[in-house]
Amino acid sequence: MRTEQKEYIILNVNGIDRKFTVGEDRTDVQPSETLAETLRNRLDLTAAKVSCDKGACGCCTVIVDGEATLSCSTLTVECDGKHVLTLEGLEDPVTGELDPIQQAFIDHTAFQCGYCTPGVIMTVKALLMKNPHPTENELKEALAGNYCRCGSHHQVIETVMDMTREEA
Amino acid sequence: MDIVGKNVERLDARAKATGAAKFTVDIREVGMLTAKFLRSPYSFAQIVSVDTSEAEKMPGVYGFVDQLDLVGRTTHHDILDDKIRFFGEAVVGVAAETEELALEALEKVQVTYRVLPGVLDFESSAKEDAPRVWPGGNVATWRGASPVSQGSSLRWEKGNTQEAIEKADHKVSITVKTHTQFHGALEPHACTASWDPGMEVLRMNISSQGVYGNQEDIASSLHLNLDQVQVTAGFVGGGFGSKAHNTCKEYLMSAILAQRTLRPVRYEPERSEECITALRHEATFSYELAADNDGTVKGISMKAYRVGGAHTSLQMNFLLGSTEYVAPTYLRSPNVCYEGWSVYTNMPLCAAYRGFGYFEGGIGFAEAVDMLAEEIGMDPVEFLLKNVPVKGDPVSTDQGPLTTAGIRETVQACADAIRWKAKYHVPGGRKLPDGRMHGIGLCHAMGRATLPNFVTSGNATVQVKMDGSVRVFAGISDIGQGQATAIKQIAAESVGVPFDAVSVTWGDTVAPHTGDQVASSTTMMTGNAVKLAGDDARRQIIEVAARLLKEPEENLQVKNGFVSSIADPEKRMPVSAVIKSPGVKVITGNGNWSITDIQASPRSLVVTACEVAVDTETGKIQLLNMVQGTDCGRAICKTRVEGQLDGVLSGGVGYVLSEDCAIDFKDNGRILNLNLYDYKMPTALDCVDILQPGIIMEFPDEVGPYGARGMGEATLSASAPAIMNAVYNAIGIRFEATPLTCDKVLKAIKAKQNKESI
Repeated sequence: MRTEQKEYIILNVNGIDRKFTVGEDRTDVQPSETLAETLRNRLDLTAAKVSCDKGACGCCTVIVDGEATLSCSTLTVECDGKHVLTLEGLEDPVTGELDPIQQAFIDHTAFQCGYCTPGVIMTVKALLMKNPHPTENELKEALAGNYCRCGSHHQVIETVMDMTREEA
Repeated sequence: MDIVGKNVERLDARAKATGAAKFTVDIREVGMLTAKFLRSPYSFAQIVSVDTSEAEKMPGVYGFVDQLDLVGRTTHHDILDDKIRFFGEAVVGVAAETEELALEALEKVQVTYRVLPGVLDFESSAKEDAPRVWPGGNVATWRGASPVSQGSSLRWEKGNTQEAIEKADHKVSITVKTHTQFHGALEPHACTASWDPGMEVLRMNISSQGVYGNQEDIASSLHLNLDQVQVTAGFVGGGFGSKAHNTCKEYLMSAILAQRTLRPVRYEPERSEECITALRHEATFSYELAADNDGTVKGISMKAYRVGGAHTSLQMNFLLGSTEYVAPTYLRSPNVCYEGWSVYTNMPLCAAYRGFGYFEGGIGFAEAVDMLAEEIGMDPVEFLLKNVPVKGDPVSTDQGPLTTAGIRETVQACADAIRWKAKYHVPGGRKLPDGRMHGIGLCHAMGRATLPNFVTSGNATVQVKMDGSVRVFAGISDIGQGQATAIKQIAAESVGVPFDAVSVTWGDTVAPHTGDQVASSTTMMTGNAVKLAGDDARRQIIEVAARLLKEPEENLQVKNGFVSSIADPEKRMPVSAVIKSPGVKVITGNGNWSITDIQASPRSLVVTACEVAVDTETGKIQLLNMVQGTDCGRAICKTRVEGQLDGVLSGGVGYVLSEDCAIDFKDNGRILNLNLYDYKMPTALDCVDILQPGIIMEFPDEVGPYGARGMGEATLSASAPAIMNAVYNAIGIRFEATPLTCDKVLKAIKAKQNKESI
């Protein structure tokens, strides 16, 4: 048995502290590893998708310390000590109750293929955490970095505007 | 009807809103290796040798496959040889424990190329002495590659078009060039492959619109029985045609890697690789249209010149979409001819693309229609109303009777919704208070709604289980439109059980063959098969129940999970009791449906009316208002029809206003903007200012299940020409090339101003 001192980081992901050693071994988080890779490949949290891998499409959006963040363009080591929220973390793990945004997306069919949906919902979540009653323009600005090739933008905008209006 | 026509919750809604939906890129298996590919730096080259010896020594690197292993195998309808035919084509594949290792291994691979002279565009390919992409010649035909000297890919005529055009009171002509477009599906063409030595089956998950085509290609290339390949496409992150009959070489190579390593293999293209998996290629169209003084169309002549890419793939079908879907179909005319050329080039695959050819072919056609109406002095909407076909009219090449009944009504409804009569003006005739020019346009588009029986038939199986629940096997993909939910509705309706009693196996070759999810055909092809299977199951349920209830079969009905007497609904028993009765245990219903174009021609229909504002200082076009209408026969679920109509924003509006490929024809046809930054797809900020609710007309189609007919593809095809014509109405400039990006619009405005000032 041999011992080795390794640097480590701790990320709080969806309420659970996750500890990773940092290094060059396959089991380590490499300094170049992105948050998307860590979430998808190490934690099996595959809701956030990698589509363009350059921060253009928004499919990989998660929330880091309250900010909508492109996980494909964020290094995992940068997230040491931070709180990461993914789509999987919105659903109550015990009751199965959904976040009102998720329920509204279901009720209004605000998606088609659903590939962009995790990123879109997390972008909306980050916006509503700061601004519970956005104007349509504020919402469009927030979503400007989320591609949707099926063209569900209108349904998304209608859904969120209806939802925030209902709550108001 | 109890379930068809209701706005039910999509069966995939919760999975997609929670992240539980696993797409192909999300699938991981124990021991899974990652495949990566070395890609060609040349547009045309022979692979002389491949040396992987150094890379093979690396720990964690498990296996290789290269182009020379593929010689004699078939994909994209071509028998592969030792040549690669476009820049970026896969040459060598490796399977390794991690992506990093795989990339390191590829750096150690040595490939010797013999570079060949190639052809990158239509003009250089369509010369008699041009280098040949395939030995037979550069012109695609139904018989295979053919030399230029043998003439066009296809031609067709009814009547005597040239004579009719010459004799007519008015004639117009225009040539329009359309540009290259990425499909832009956000999930790339990913796959996994693993060999099960027990069941002797190669299991593949493919992000696919056509699992059966993939199955055929892979089984034949790997010399396996058809049923030794199982292809599953569960949740698919968009396709838009790029994943239809597109068995990428990388899928074959991943399957070979899985066989060689006896480990599961996954492949997930990077965006730069994804963008060259398939393209909507550039094309040029020439039109001559003629009509008499009263606005009756007398002659339509169309010529299409398409770039077909490096493989046979669907380029002939696409050419047919560009020509026969348009010229002999959009308007009534006694004299119609078309001629089409599709040529092989050393460019990526010509895949299907939403609005299968008629998207591009329809743009210039609608411009010509607009010109002809202007020439005659008729309102363009009046002109359309006078000339669009009605139910029973002969359309398309086969001149089968049209079953779409509400074309005029849908045109009229859209014109009314946008207040056409009040808003239409002469070109350049209305300036908005902010100085921008106002324009308005209205166009229709019609695509297929079935596939001919020589392409495929619709097939489905319905199993009614002991608890009264139903499993439908209908292997069509659902790439986002919600077909799986439609199948569930149709099955519940036809068997006579509650919606929630039905589950669907979709996107999987374990279900009977039902073709690709293309051409807005799923509603009719698979939908009819599911209905017939459900009807068959219901008939068998009644047959058994008649004995149990001691009631003649014709007196019985199945509704909401119960068999009951029509006369006395109290006399009833649950479906579950029928299935549980001795000797039954399961009831299986089968459905098979096909049709030829000669028997009937159902055509999908979308009409788009829009208003634009053109800023003559910047060239920026803004969509102010848009209305779309469809006659879909019957909406199985209106919410989903509206979703399809809203899809206009992505591929349609984006195509005209912002998307463009930068192709370097001096450097192997390399595409310079293979990413989602420099390729500008529309976002929420580009949403139309006012998108009115979709107009859904329901004139039942005699050949559709419960009268329904697909409509998704036509959405894009009506939008692009409507914008082109609205821009003409705004500034009086008839654009003869797409896209209408700010720079091109501004240049045209300046050129017009200079011309007028001289």
